[in-house]
Amino acid sequence: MIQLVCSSKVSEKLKVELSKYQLDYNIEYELILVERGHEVPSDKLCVVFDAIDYMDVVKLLVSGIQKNIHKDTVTGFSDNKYIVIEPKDILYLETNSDCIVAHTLSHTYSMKETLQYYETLWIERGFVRANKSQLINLMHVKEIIPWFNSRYILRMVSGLELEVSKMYSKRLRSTLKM
Amino acid sequence: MEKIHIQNIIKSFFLGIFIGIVLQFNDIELTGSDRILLVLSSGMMGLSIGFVTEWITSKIPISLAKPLNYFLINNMIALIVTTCIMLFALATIRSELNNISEFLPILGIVLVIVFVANLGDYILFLRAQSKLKIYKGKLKEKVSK
Repeated sequence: MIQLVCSSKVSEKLKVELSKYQLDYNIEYELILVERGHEVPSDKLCVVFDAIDYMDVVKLLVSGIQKNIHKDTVTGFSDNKYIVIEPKDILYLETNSDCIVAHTLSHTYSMKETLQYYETLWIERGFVRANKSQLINLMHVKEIIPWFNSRYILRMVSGLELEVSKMYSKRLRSTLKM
Repeated sequence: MEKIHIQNIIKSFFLGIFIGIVLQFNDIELTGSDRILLVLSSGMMGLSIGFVTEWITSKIPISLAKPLNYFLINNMIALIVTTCIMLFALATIRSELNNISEFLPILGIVLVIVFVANLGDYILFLRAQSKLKIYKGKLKEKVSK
């Protein structure tokens, strides 16, 4: 699906990131990622990027190209059962010691992958990072309460209150264009 | 300590500088060096108030987080701080004042600044709620397409 035209160092990094999102490279490519400074092929669709921005390319691909995996549904584990959950039902995701936990209105499910994975994947679905360990679905936020030291408290529809740390409050402001 | 937001302390410093500049319009008899001293001391006061406020507010438990509590605590801090500044200013320049009524415009200016700052804060709070509503609306529209 994707061909890489870049230095070996950037190529290695990209391969690692792309494989995390199960994006294939070098197999009947339709899209070429070209590091600036390398020759841009004229017959295929190319994305030219600066080496330093390689993660932005990955984010772009994940949000724009990958449509099937975990985009619309995700599998969560609860009470010895695997359940298919839709992102819209998830209030927030939280890191646990060995996995991440998805909280819905009535249940909690353990899930694989990392918080960063879902942050990238579900950014368009209204999921924003509130702090180091929580990713919140803004669709379930009822009220934004300003708090001291540049923090916010998000009151969820369930009545639960989650803190947006000062580190991530800027990101929340830019997401909501506050 | 990690909750303390340095940027807010710096903002307090500049707010202090601004108050110092505004206060100069009240006393046109001040000499050049006095004016600079007034602005700088006002800035330093802002800096120290900013630090103390950030430190105190970092200790407030998050369980108290409600809009009413936020604005109540915010205004209480503003009121206490203003009172302290006024008492300090009154104690230091009392000998130079002929009448206590001369002091009232200064109090008025500071209170107006505090009031405007709080009003701005409240408008930002309302704006945040409306931005959230708009964002959710747009997202719903996008998903339903």
